[in-house]
Amino acid sequence: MSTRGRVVAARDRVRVGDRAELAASVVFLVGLLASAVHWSGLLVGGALLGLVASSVRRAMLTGVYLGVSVLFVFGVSLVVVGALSAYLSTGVLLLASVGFSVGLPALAAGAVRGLT
Amino acid sequence: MTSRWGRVAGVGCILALVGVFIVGGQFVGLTAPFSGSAWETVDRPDSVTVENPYGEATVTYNERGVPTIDAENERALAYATGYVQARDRLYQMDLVRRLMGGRLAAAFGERAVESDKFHRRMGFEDAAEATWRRLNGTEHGDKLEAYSAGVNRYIETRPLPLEFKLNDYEPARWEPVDTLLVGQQISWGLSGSFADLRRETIADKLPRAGPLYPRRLDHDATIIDADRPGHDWQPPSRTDGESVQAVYESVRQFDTQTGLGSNNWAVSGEFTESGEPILANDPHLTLTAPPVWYEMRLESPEGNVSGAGFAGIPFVIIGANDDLSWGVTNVGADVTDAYTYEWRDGQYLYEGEYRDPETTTETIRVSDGENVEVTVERTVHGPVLERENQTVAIAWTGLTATTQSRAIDDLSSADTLSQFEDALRQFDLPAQNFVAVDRDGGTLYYPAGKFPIRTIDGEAVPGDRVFNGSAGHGEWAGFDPYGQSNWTGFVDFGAIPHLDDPGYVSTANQRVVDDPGFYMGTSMDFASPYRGMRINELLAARTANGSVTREDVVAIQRDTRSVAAERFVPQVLNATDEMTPEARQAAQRLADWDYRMDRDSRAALVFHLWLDRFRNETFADEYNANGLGDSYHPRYWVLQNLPADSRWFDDVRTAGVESRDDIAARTMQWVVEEIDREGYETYGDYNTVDIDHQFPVGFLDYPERPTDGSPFTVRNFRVGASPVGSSYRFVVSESGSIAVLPGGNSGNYLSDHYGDQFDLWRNGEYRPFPTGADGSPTITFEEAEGAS
Repeated sequence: MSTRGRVVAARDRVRVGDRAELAASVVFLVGLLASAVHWSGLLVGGALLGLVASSVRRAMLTGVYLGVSVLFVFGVSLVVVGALSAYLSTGVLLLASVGFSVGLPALAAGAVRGLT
Repeated sequence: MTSRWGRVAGVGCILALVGVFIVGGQFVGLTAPFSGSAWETVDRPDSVTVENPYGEATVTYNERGVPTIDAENERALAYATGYVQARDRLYQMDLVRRLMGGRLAAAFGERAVESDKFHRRMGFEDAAEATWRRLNGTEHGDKLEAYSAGVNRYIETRPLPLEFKLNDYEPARWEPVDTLLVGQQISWGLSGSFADLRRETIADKLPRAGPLYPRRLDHDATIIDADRPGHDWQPPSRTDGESVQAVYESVRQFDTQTGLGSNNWAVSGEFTESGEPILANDPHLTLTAPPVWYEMRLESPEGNVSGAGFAGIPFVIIGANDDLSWGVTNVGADVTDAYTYEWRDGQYLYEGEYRDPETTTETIRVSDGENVEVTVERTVHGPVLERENQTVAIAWTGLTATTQSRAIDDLSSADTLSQFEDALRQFDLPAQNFVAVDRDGGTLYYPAGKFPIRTIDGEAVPGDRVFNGSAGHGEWAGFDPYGQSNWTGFVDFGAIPHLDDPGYVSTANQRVVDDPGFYMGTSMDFASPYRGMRINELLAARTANGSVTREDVVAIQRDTRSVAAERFVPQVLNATDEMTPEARQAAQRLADWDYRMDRDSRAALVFHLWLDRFRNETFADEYNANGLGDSYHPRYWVLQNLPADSRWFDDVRTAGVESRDDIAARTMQWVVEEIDREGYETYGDYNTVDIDHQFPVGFLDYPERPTDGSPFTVRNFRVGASPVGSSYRFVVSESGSIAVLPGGNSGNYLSDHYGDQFDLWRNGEYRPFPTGADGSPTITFEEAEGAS
């Protein structure tokens, strides 16, 4: 088997094998942590989720989950410092924040899964 | 294996991502959760350590976001204060220096060009630089430099406030001159006045309105009341060359002026239940988000001081130290004059010869637009302006090197009222009614400031006119615009009417005294006496038995009874025969009213709308016809005292002759229709406090909510697009000092303290005045290695 063939086989095992759920969980956590450090983490996390997803639809769905999870954890951190209400009142900034959080990982996941 | 559909979806996702970044890429870094730069100023519960080149310091915030800054020396304190103020108010600080320096357009574009032109022509920055030349190298100057370094440390190392990111610009380094510009801003707001030009305009367009602007309002509610024990001020006999008495003889009347006001009063221990003095102050300024005032406590080996100042200035301006407490209201003195000249070929006539004005051309940088050039001209008297169709030169006491900043610094460190009075000698502007108390129960009232003496041919004259600059009329001897003045032609400090140990004293911007011995101002400068009368009435009642408590003082500060209503309501009730049944019904609500401007009062709503409209109905027919808008209308005190058959009540647009009753009735009909149209139920439906941030983004504004008070009540509030009211309330008492801001101490929108006092303020409530650190420091300053 060629090297490319071995890589494809490994990829497919990760996507549909016994440890597919574990792999998805790990990259989900990596994405969450990366997103807390820099906004590009939303793209990286989404791309990793796309790499391990079994389908484009599932990739985009887990990308949405990642974005929602990032927002949830961010919201909790704002509750701790008493700034959630202010965040929720920022109008267009809030819309952009939510939109980027959900959209970027979903699109990145869809792109990677669709082309690999 | 990826299907064809999957590949199409993948390409679609990539295209969508590209689209997202093209359209809104710059917002990703701004708004992304956690890392978005918009959220960087959230108050994290962590502490930071910062190097301080001047020494150690700590900053501990209390539960209201008020910092206690404790340092091992004065310069370390100033550095830490700069850092902290930048942390909490950097955008506000930058906005003020841009405004006064004429640099708003560089950040906000063409809409700010006219403002920049005015401020460049006035040369506020040049005057601030003159002050800095005087202070540079002094102990006080060293503090301003240390403060600037602290601000810059923050700018260089910490996240910028949200507003900078939304507007996509960064602040320049902070310099000591910027601190002096902040002082210029508040000074110009309180004492820069074009009343002389306004008066001339009225005289030109509607000459018979002259009597509506008397030099002195007909009342006896002066601050210094000769009939009250302890108020026996007498002008000192003079032995020097400048005759203050001559000035006094040339002054016949004084009067009032629209604008910003304040209340303060002091009660000595002789009149309090506890035997300890009590002081109260609430300056009335434009209400902004964040508030104009920044509250802090400063501690050093030199002493401790708590209170409020302005962001950009490292000192407490009103508040209390270990020995004294003090507050201010605006005197409203006339310290601005205008001069006209004979002009020929761009030269002005002065002292018999035509001179070139000092002329420079400055470039105003305009964000997203063409740069604009502005020509700045100055005569021997000051900057040249064109206003109200006149070309004039303006003299203002702030357009020279001043010692205001040093005076404020020294006030904080005074241990006795005598030292406090000494510090006031340096307080040149804006002239303020200082009241102060000490721990021993001593009290002081001093309207400190520089009061110019104008002369024509050697005779002292009032300053309520536009002077003939070519003839050298009305000049201020010893005043050097943009230079170092020696103030020889100004009233001696000791000749200013003042009171030592008055027992109790209150000020509310009314006329200081009937005969101060020199020209101080006119009715266009001093406020109507409504607030002053009410405060004195309440103080007299409570001091009568010598048992004033802090709660009494708070009740006065919260008082909403309108003396204006007491005076005008009889005029309304006298006119009911001329009213329609529905208007009469509305007017009858005022018959049993307690004159309190409370939010749940229907009568207060009826009265407020009626009074507002009544003045307009009285004067607009002739004023509007002569091109004079409602800003030219006379004071309510003047309106109140017009006889019922005054010709001003006649509507010149009608064939008949109207009386006060006719106008009062007509106005009430309008009120009924207005209330019906707008659906108002009570005063609170109309009297809402709506404070906007200066950056036009809705979420930065405070919420619009009902409140109590009016422009004529002690609890002061003027509803409008730019609301004015008590910009900081505080009461200092041994039984517990209290204060409140109309918003919050932090200017960072995401801070828990951005607006956490707003509801307290609008409901007339308080929280503790800062008295010291309690808890762990948020910021620790360590002395930088190698620092001197």
